[in-house]
Amino acid sequence: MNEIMAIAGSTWRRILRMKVVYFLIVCVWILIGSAMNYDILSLGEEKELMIDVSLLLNTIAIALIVISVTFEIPRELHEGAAATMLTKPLGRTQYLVGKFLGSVITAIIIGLIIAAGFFVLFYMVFGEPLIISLLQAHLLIIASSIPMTAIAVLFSMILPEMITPIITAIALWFSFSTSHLAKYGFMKIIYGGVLPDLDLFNFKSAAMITAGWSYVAMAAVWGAIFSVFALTLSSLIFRFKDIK
Amino acid sequence: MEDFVIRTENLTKVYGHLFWKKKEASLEKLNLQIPRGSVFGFLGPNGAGKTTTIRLLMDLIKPSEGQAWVLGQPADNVKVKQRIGYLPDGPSFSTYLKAYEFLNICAKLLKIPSSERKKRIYEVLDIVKMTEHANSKLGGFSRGMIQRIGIAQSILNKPELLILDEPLVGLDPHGRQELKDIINEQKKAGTNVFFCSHILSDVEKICDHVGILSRGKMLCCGALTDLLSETGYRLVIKAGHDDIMQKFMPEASSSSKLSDGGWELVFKENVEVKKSIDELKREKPDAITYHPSKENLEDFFFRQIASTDKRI
Amino acid sequence: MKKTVVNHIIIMAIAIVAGGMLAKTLHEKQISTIPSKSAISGVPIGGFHKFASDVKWMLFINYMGSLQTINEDNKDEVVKRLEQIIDLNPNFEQAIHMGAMSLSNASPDQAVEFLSRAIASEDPTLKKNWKLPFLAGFILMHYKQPAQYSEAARYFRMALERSEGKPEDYVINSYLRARGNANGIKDARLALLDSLVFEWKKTSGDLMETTIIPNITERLLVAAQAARDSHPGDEKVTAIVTEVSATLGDKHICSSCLHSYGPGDNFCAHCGNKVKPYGQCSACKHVLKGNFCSNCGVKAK
Repeated sequence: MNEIMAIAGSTWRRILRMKVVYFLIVCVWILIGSAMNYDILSLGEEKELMIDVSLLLNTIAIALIVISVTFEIPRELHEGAAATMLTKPLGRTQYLVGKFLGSVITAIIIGLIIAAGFFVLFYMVFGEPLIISLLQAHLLIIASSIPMTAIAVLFSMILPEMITPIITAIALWFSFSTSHLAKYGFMKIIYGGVLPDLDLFNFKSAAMITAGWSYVAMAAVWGAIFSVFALTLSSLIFRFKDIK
Repeated sequence: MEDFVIRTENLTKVYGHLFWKKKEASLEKLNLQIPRGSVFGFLGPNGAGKTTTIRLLMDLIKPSEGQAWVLGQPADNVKVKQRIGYLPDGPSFSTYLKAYEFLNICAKLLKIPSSERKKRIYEVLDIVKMTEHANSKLGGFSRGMIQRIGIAQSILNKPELLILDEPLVGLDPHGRQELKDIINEQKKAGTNVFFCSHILSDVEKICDHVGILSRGKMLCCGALTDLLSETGYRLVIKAGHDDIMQKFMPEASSSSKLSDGGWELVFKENVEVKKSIDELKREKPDAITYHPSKENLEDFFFRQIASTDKRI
Repeated sequence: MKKTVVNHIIIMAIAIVAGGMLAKTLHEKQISTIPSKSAISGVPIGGFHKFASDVKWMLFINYMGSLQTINEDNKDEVVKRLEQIIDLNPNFEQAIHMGAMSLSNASPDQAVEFLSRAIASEDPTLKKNWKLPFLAGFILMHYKQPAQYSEAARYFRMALERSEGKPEDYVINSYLRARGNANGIKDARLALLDSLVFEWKKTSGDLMETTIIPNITERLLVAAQAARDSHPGDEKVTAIVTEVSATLGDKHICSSCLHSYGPGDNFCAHCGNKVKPYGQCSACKHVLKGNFCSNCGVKAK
């Protein structure tokens, strides 16, 4: 576990040392806060708008953090930084899990920072304290970083470096967009098992409806199970992969 | 305990597995046995397969055929890596990390107890003369500094086997000397060293065993003293004795005109030639100087490579 | 190596089955929590449907601001824009409400269609919304030519049912009027009385007044009085008055004018009709103020 955490530590250190991350967080807060100015343009829907903007931007920020994995892993493999690590007593699976955990932890930290900023702004503008359903909607988005990162790690293994980030972004987009496929027969098992149903984390359309803590917990567990599948597949591919 | 720190059996690596790619053997049936307590120099021209061999030994790439053992364990055994130090060719590390942080991660991976970690990290930084850069980011380091950090991480765990891929590249003459000193220190401490380099004079000074690889095939391998014992004769003909030169030229393995107008001919061990030279020495003692020659590693290396090229 | 590969495959198979089953459960749970989810457009926009609907809503407002009026020329565009918004967010109350209001004059059918879709929604918030059925009823009664009173009454009644016991007076009145009109009663007072009697009969004289119309007895009495005054001698009104007074006899209502009278009164203070007195001492006919008569001391029965 120490080895995994060492790799995870280097990953979140990398992301948290990028100044652009803090710029991103501040921009997100500003955009969330600016929703209050849309009262006339939205005919009094500025509260709803602020909620929707916060959920949208939190999702995008987390997706960007996750997609950064698709830059990092291939680059480390290509430039030889990964080779240095893998010549230590570190299994290839441990390396992948370390990268996965590091990215997930970073995404969770950044997601929580954005959500906390939103709740402070929401309180300042509308005087409403923490709304549980909204908190759950944000937590679900944050939890979605688990399967998203697993997808990013998997694609880092199977795709050429140049196209990995783009394909990962498209895959994440469609994973959030195709939940209606789950209605159809055989797809019920395949979808969510092999194909990721990230829409399970999507309460953006009903942020004022309480998802329930059990749902949030179950969704996180599903994310973890899907990640086990994706990471095991990644590990299997990585086992046979030549490292520069 | 196995007698060999590294052993390979028919180790082969073929690149281009996909059907539309031309298959290309980077390494062909390499059989290598490196005894304990040796400093092994792995030589070969560019593309010979040296780095491929090292990567196979470090389990970074998978063999197409054959097997490799390192310190008595299969090369894909993760645990054995705890006893190995490895410096890659042109090392590249995470640029966002500080030197200390990077070495700390390496120390964690090497399972160095947390109580000893800091001390050991500063020890190795001191060895590679990088202590003052401990808190600088690797991204700002020069190639030579990166090489030093690479060396530091490779000796962090006081390895039983140190594998160095082109360790002298990127270092200034002073740095090269320091590295040679480090390798000698490691040798004295009982570390087995396996390294490949293009700088043959350095290899000759450091190594006691060498192997020469060309086009994926091992040309020769053994103790340096044994390999270079193949003696010949060096005949220096003074200026104005071209007739002697012309007489012996056909038998010479190499010839070169000297700056003073004389000639130097080199012969392989040959009883007939030796007899003729002995006679000439008696007849014209001032016209020639003659002495048995022992090849240096560079000559040996080029002769070996040339012989393969001729075979091809 | 082979063993490791087999282990990997086993782990993946377990994860697929477990993940698939859990996803199915979560999917069902999500649908039950957000019933409107199935009504959301399938357009693949990464789950950002609600935000997209917000953006389209603001564009819609902008577009509406550019129009002088909504007429035959532009109503299709308005409908199209509204459809897009509601497809993305079927629970967008304000868009549905404002959109329907905007269209009510130019295209009442489409306005009602938007509203009926939202009214039929299983979404917990929309299910409680009384304004939408009220607006649907209002449009059917006032904008639709000819007015559809029966359908309007149905929507008004729905609005009353959703008002959770505190309906606005204008909703009640709209319902009663629409229902009366639906029954072909042209006179407003008679129509009101007819509807109130219909609702009142549902209570079976229950004092708890379980109908959707609060204070129905008082309303009924007032309506009956007004109808009796405006239509003296009307057989239907007389029959209603008789029925009401008979039912509310123990509530001290004058059978003639339906005004209430006080304890000790022998005649109606409003119309002079003789009424059945109550609250009197059985011995001295003095008005009782407690358990014993303050005049003769006889215990009240």
